[in-house]
Amino acid sequence: MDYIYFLQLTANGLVIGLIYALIAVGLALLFGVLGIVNFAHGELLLIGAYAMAIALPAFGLAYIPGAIVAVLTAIIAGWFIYEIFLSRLGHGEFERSILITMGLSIVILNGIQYIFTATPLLVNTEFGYAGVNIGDIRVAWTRIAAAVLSAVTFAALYVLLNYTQIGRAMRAVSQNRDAALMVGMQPRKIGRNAVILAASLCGLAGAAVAPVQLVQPYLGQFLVFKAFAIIIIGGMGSIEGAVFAAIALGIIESWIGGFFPVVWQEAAGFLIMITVLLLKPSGLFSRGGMRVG
Amino acid sequence: MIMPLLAIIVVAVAALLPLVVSSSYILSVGVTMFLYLVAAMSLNVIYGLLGLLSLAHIAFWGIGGYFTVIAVMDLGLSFWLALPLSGLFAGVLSIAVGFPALRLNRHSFVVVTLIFALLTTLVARDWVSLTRGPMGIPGIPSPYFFGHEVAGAYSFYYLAGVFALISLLLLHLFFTSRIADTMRAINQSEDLARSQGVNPTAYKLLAFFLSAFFTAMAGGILAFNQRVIDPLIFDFFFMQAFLIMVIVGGRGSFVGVLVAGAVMSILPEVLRFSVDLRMVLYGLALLAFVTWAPNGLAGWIRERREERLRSELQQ
Amino acid sequence: MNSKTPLLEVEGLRKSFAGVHAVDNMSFSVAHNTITGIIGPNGSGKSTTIDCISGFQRPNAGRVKLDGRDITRLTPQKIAKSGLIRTFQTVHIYESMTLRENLLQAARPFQAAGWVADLLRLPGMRREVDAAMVRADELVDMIGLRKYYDAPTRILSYGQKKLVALAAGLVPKPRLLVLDEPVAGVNPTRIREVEEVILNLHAAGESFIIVEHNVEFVMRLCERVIVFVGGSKMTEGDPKSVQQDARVLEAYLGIPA
Repeated sequence: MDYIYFLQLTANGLVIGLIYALIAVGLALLFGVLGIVNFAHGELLLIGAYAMAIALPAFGLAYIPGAIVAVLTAIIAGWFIYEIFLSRLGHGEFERSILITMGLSIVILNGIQYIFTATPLLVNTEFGYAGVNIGDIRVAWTRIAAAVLSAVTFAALYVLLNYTQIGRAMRAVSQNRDAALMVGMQPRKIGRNAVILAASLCGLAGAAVAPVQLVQPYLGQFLVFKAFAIIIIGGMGSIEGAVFAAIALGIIESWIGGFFPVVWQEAAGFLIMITVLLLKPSGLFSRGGMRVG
Repeated sequence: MIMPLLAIIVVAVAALLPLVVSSSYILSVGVTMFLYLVAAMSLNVIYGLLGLLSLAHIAFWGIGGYFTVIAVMDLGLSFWLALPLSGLFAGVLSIAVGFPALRLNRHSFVVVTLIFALLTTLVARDWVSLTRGPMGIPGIPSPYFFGHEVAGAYSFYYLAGVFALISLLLLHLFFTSRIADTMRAINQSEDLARSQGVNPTAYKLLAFFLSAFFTAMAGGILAFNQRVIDPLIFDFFFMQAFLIMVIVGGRGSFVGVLVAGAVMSILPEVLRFSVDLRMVLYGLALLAFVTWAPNGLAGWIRERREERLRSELQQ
Repeated sequence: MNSKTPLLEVEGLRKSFAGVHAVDNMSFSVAHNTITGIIGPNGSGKSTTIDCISGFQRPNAGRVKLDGRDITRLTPQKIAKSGLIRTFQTVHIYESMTLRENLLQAARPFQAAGWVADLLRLPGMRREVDAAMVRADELVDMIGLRKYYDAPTRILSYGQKKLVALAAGLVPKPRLLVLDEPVAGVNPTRIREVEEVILNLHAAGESFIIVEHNVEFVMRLCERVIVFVGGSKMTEGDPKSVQQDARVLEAYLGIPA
């Protein structure tokens, strides 16, 4: 039953890819709007995942309330981070933004490790380990929930970015900052919106990933380095590019993991990234809407 | 006159310490401190003097470790030859990475060095035939120094100490030279430097080479000290630690980074902080300095002095 | 030095950005031991021309010769080393270095000692530092800032910083010093001092190109004045004839001739 195996892999890959996309989109958004590379992105996800892990038992394992708590917690964290640190950054203070977000990442990661220890948490939900058979393939409910959650989020995100004032302002700033400022847009407000949006996506990704993988302090860092590769492949600052690259990478990794030694699964993202960099080295920094240098 | 005297006293105390202290724990803290100091000061060359934020240092650190171990264990070279060779190897790599990375701008340099760091981790983990993969290479033999086995905290304290002394003396010579002044000039205004006839690329590559060279050798000693090397040597923790030492001490300041590096290596041990708590405090220090005192301790002192001078001269 | 060849020769220079010619068919030359002024309204191509001459921008077409030697496509650092030094419109100095260090740094690329000699403080390097120190002493007196010699230049006033930039440009005794708006934003008494410095150096054989908005300053100082309009040279001549040229008045004041 080779094709069933293949479909199974594809389904699993799709779920992981959607989670990657949640992370990568936020990273791309912050890069586009604020011109920063957020090294604390994985830690926002971590906050979401731990919030989910703690909230679930409190809500009798109910999935949706747990996810809402995770998102709210990440939003509050993101808001604080913006008001205290990121709002002080002038545009183009690229190195400083890296140092600040790296500092935040260190504090949050090790703070969580200090409080919760490095022991992985196994997160149980109302779905337990039950799954559903779709034709010949079997998918766990937690994975389906993660996929549905992500898909709904992307639909909402699409509407937000294209049809609302808030979203259009963000896109305008990320495409042409000078012009956007000239017509009187407020960078501080837009920056805060972007951080809150990115944080909520991280919180959601944390909620989605918590029941699927073990929750441990390095979860975020592991995922975010992959997200760096994804936004480089997708063209830094491009949201559509990030979504497509993320889903494609999730599926490709799953396929590779199913047929080849597991080391190649890890390497795939970086090898694709290197290939993209070699084929299109300047593409990284010369796209419209990019603000590096 | 006070500075050289102070330096001699510090070196003398450090040299005599193992004769009074027999705790191998304290000596091993010393070993770590010596290696961190060299790595942090190396980062201070490229980031401090030239303002180029290199995240590739963690790569050079790990490459130095792996190169030295593989050269000794698989190629049968002497440790004393393998160590400088690892420095040269990392230096050559730094030129290969630096040349394209510097072609675009300062920001692309950060991104390219980060990618390089991630890539080396991947190679260490996945090029199993060379590095033995995630399990690492155990059973690294002790170096022999004229028939003396260098093993244990006591011997490594002196090995790392002498290495740090030599490296830091050379780096001090460098930091006080006109070469370093030209690098500071490039950092402040690259256009002005070019208009005065300076070729910035040559200086940037030199800085990157030197910082890779010393960092790799420190990594090599680290590997032999822990007697096993695995991909954890590429843990981003090290990169963060070096970076925080440079920023807290003051970018471009030799003494500042030396003091910050020593304090940040010793203090958490004295206070018996757990690793997590230590990193939380490191992270808070990084945040505080980057936000409120971006030029570090040395910069803060310099700014106070300048203010005084300004009010004196304008009267 | 052949006195027949001009010191600087610019021929058919063109530079365009996104299809718009900032400078087009720009030709002019500058003789040895002169002070030449370049004036023109905003957007007349003055800055772009200086950038092209000094290598900071690559011209799309044309040729620049310094003392008969083609320097068109050289890097800024090579052009500087061949004897053409420029200053910048906005103040460019090393703010965290002292005035003395600023002047010594300007001398450094013109000295022979290599990295090894620098690192080991070999005698060759020491001799060079001493020589540079003599030159720096001379210049610091000329700009009258000896009081601030060992102070970081960050603490200086705007006008003082402009003087430091001027002195740094003079350190290697360039064949030609191009000053980009040396007195913009400088107070009138200070402007007189700058004038005096430049005239003294000219008497000693130094050549200058001065790009300035301050037309009076240019007219007082320069033997020849070149007028740029719309990215090319409109006219040139001695200050008097340029001042009376109807086309110049039109370009500046918008009065039709």
